[in-house]
Amino acid sequence: MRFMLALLLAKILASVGRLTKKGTNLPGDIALKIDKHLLGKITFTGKVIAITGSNGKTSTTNMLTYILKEAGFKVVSNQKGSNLTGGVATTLLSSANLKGRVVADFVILEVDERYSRLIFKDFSADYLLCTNLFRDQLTRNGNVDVIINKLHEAIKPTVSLILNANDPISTNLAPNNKRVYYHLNRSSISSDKPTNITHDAKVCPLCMHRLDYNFYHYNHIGDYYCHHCGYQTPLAKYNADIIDLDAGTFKVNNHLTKTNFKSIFNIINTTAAIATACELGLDIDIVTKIMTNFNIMEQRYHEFLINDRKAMMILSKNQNPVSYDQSIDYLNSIKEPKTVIIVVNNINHTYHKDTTWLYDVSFEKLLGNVANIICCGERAYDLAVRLKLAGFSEETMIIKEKPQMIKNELNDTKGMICFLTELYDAKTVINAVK
Amino acid sequence: MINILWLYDDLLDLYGDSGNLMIIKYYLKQNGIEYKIDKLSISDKLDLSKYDMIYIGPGKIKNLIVASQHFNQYKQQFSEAIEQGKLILISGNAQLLLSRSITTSDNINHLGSGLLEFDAIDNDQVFISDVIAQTNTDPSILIYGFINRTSYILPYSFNRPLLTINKGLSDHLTSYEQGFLINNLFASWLLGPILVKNPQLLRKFLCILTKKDNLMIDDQLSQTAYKLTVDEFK
Ligand SMILES: [Zn+2]
Repeated sequence: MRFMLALLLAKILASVGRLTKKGTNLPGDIALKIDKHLLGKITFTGKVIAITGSNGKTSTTNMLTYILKEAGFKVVSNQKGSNLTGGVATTLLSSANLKGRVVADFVILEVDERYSRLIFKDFSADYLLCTNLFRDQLTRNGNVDVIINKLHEAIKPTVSLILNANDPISTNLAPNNKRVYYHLNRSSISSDKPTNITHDAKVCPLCMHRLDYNFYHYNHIGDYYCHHCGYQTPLAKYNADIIDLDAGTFKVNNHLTKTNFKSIFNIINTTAAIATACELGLDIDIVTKIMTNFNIMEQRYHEFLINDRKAMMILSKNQNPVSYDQSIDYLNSIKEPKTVIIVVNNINHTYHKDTTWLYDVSFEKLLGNVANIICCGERAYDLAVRLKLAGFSEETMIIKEKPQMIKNELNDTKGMICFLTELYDAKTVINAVK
Repeated sequence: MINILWLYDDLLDLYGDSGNLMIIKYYLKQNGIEYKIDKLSISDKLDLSKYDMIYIGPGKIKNLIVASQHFNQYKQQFSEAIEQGKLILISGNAQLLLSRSITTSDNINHLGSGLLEFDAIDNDQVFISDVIAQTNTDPSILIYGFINRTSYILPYSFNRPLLTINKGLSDHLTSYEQGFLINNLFASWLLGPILVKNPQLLRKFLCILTKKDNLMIDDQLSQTAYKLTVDEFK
């Protein structure tokens, strides 16, 4: 009875929400207040696939959804930003029939790794894909071990895992569960040495001795082995080889495919989507062909004009060094002259003045690739000190704590204006300089 | 040649730990002083007499317990190093390596080195705080630091605390003292790039490390960053 009420109310709220384009967490959150175990009462005609991980889960979810739809299946999936408990409930309740049954071949749920144990308290996915695990907002989330513990509570013994063999941390998830791995082989840009400061797998997850690498793709993602206990990159069922990075072409188990977003990070995630589709029973030949037509909408990168000058937003998450590292790699792929604006404020919500996380970002990689750097925000000087230690001369830096003070300075800088920062902070600066 | 040991760089690598050695390297290089940094961990045999400075940063509690089993074997060497006034910086929960015991949230009591007379309890609860404190090495130095910890220390007050806290919290709501200052051992809950954030403390460190008080240190930018941070607490 409570379930029926929750189901109906969520459906009504979700359809109103669609009209007003309001957030998608609310209907589910309200329904969960009426029946807190409702997720366990929903039934499925098809398979449920959960996609989680620190980075890349939204784009991987989009890719898998695209493959399955193009292959002719009926697919239900959650929208970007609705990967918390309420969002998942909204998705499932609004697509369920009046008997609480979701009639679809596949249900694909992007799941926030920190909320996974709450989301899967009363029901379980059939498959779980974990893209990778990294340190992220250590003042809020705790460390990677805390995230792993939450995932272990979420992963029931029956769940089939699809895991990234290049990631020594997530490879070791729920070791007794059935699993397949995907892997990107060494490429022309692989490195023998760590490519970034942030390296979350310096030690073997089993015996804690120093972990050695055959090569690195980025951060701790690569090919590894432990001299002490023998832990190593597992044999993967799906192996990718890059054919031409500039063209975005690569092969998965010798089947050619292509992506329009040509980063190592994205090629690994595309391989993940292909591997998952194959595990769901699709033919690899068909899957790789479908993928070549997928046009990835990278919402993290977006070009616009500021007072007739070319500008670009490269969204980066505060306290998430890997997100900054990826932004820096992307910025370096832009070949024209650039001025970079970075905003560092006190920590969101708590207002602590700590800037420790800046020492985990590989700002050194920007050296020689930018004309000027504008340091802005409450902690602008702390950022400038970090950049100085990275090797930037004080002459290349413009330090202004208040966004309004940037406007005049901007005239003396060269090239495209690149925002390497959070969306909210970038908008504040854009409004101030217009 | 200055020899620096970054001990357990792999196991104890919570975040931002590279900052302290990054800034020391920067000024040594600027002053034309040669240096070498060794990174050693649990697979390695230690000979602390080779080093002018030892740095240990914080880590995940699981990793810290593993590190402590290795550390305990070198208790005698560390005791001598402290007595001899070797420069040692220990940040965040790495100071638990000096304890008599560490009790983890699963209620297991792990034997510590017992170099100092205190016990530690980890309860898995993240506690964060900004701190403004005086260092007892030189009370005129007011320092800013950040705590991000899941453990606390008993008893709450010590004979030789490093810090007297003006703003922020320590192990206990009623305690205004924190950390350990024994000869040139500096240990406290503060973590991250402490020496970057606190230019006066850095000068003191460089002076002890190089035994020179006339180094060229262009730290205007750090001084401004420091002043702006500290002023926000006024
Ligand atoms: Zn091992």
